[in-house]
Amino acid sequence: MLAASKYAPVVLLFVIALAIPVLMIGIATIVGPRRLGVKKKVPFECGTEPIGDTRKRFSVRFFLVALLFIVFDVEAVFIFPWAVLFRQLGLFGFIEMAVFLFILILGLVYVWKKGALEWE
Amino acid sequence: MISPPPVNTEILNLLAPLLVLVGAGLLFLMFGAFRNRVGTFQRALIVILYAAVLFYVGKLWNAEGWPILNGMLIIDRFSLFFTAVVTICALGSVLTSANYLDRFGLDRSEYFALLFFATSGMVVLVSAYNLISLFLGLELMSLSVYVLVGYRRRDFFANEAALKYFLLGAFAIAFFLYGVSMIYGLTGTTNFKGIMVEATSRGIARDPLFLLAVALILAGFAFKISSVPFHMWVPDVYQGAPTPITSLMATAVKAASFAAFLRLFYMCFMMGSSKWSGIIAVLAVLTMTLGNIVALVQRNIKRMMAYSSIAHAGYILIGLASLSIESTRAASSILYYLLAYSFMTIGAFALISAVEKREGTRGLDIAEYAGLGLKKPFLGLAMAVFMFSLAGIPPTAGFFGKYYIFSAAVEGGHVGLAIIGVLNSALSLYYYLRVLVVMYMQKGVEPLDVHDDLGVKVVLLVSLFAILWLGFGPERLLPGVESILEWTRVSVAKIASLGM
Repeated sequence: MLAASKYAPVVLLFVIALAIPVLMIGIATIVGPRRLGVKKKVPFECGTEPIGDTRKRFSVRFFLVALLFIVFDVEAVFIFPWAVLFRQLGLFGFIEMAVFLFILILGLVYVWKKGALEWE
Repeated sequence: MISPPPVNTEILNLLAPLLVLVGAGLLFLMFGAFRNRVGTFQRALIVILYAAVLFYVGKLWNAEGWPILNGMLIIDRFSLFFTAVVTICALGSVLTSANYLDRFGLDRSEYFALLFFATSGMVVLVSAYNLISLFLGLELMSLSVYVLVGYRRRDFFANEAALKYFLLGAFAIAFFLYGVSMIYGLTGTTNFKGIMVEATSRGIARDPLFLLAVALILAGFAFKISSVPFHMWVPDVYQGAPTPITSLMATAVKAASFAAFLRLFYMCFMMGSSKWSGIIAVLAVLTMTLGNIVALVQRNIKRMMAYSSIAHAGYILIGLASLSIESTRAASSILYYLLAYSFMTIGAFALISAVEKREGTRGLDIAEYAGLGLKKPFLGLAMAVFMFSLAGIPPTAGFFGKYYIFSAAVEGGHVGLAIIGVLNSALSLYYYLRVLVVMYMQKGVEPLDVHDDLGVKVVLLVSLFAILWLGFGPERLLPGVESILEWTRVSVAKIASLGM
C-alpha cells in the first residue's frame, strides 16, 4: 500500500503525458479542417525533404551555433547539483559558482563582441 | 552530509602560479574581444605575467608537497620544477612570436590567450594527482594547442596540420580515457595513491585487464610525447604550425606530458615489475632509431627538427625504462634532460622563425641557410651551439643530459639500451652538422633576409647561456650545475618514496 502510494505521482504523470497528445490529436482530427495536398501527404520531417540526397551542404553557421549551444548548455549541468544543495554549500558554494559563472560570462562577452551570435 | 572544504589562503598560495595563468588567459581573451592588435603594453604584460609565475614557483619551492583539493592536485617540487620548465618554454615562444606574428599578419590577442590557457593546462597536467585532473590538464593543453597549430587559417599546411593533430589527438585521448575507465573499474579510485595501494595490495597488478588498461594509458602518452608507433603526425604538424608554436610543442607540451607520464608510471604502474620497463625499452629503441634515420634525409628544417624531437623522446624513454624504486638516478636524469633539451630546442626554433619567410621559398629549406654563418656571426654561433648540443657534443648541456640518461641506464642494468643510444647519437651528428656545413661552407645565392628582432635575440642569448651553464656552470651568482642536479634529485625523491 505504501509503495503504491509512493509511486502514484509517477503513474499520474504517465496518465497525463498520455492524455495530452491523445487529446490534442483527437481534437485536431474532429474539429480541424481537412484540405489534403501533395505536400501535406508527405511524412513529417521537421521541414526537410524526406527523400533526397543525404549529403546536403549546411551553412557553417549551424555548426557555430551548435558549438556555442553545447558550451553554454553544459553550464546548466553544473548548476543543477549546486542549486539542489544550495543551502548546505552556503557562501562557499555561492562564491565557487560565482567564479564559474564569471568565467562563462567572459566567454559569452567574447563571442558576443566577436559577432558569433549574429546570423548574418 | 556534505561539508564544504575550508577555504584557506594557503591553498590560494599553492595555486598562485595556476591562478595567474588562468587569469592572464581570461584577461587576454577580453583584450581580444575589444581590440584586435597587441600593443607594446600587452607584450610587456605577457612577459611580466610569465615572470610572476616563475616568481611564485620560486616562492613555493620549499613548500611541503601535499595533495590539495581533495587529492586532485599536488604542488610538490616535481610539479614546481616542471611548472618552471613549461613557463620558460612558453616565455621563449612568446618572445619569438612578436616579430613572427607581425610578419605573418597573425597579430591577435587570442593567440596569447590560448598560449596562457595551454600553459595553465600544462601546469594542471604536471601537478595532477588524480587521473581525472590529469585528463583535464591534458585536454586544456591539447585543445588550446590544436587551435594554435591552425592559427594561419588561410595556409594549406596549417589546416592540414591542425586537422591531423586534432583527429589523431582525439583518438589518443580516447585510448587514454578507456584505460582510465578500466583502472577505475578495477581499483575503484582514480587517485594516484589509491591506485598504487589497491594495485599492490590485492594483486590487481597481475590482472590482464589491468595490463590492458596500462597499455592504453601508455598509448595515450606515447602520442603526446611522439613516441614511435604514434609519431606519424609529428612532421606534418610541426611543419604546418606557426614556428613559435612548433617550438612550444617540441618543448613545453613534451615536457609536461613526460612529467605526467613519469609521475603516473613511477607511482602507480612500475611496482617492481620489469614488464613495463621492457615495453618502454622497445619503444625507446624504435623511437630513437626511426627519428634519427628519417631525419637524415629531411630537406625542410622544421621537418628535420620534428624527427629530431622524436629521436630525443626516444632518449628520454631510455630514462623511463631504467626507472627503479631503489634509485632516483634515472628519474632525475629525465628532468635534467628535459630542461637541457628545452633550452636547445627553443633556441633553434627561435632562429628558424627569424629566417622563415611568408612568400616564395618560405626560408625553411636547409639549403636556404647557406651563408648565414658568415653574414650573421652571432646567429651562426648560436645555431652551431644548439646543433652541437642537440647532437650531444661536450661541453654543452645536450652532452651531459645524454651522459646522465645513459649512465642511469647502465646502472639500471640496461647496457644494451645505452649502447643503442650512443650509436644513435653518432648517427644524429650527420644531420645536425649538415646545417652547420650549409651555414658556413656554402655561398648563399639569394640575399639573406633575417628578422632577428630583440625578442629573438634575447631567446638566443638566454638559451645559449643556459646550454653552456647547464654544462659546467659553477656555483656563483646563479645556482650552478650541482644545484640544478640537486633540484632534479629532490624533485623526484618524494615520488620515489611514495612509490615504495
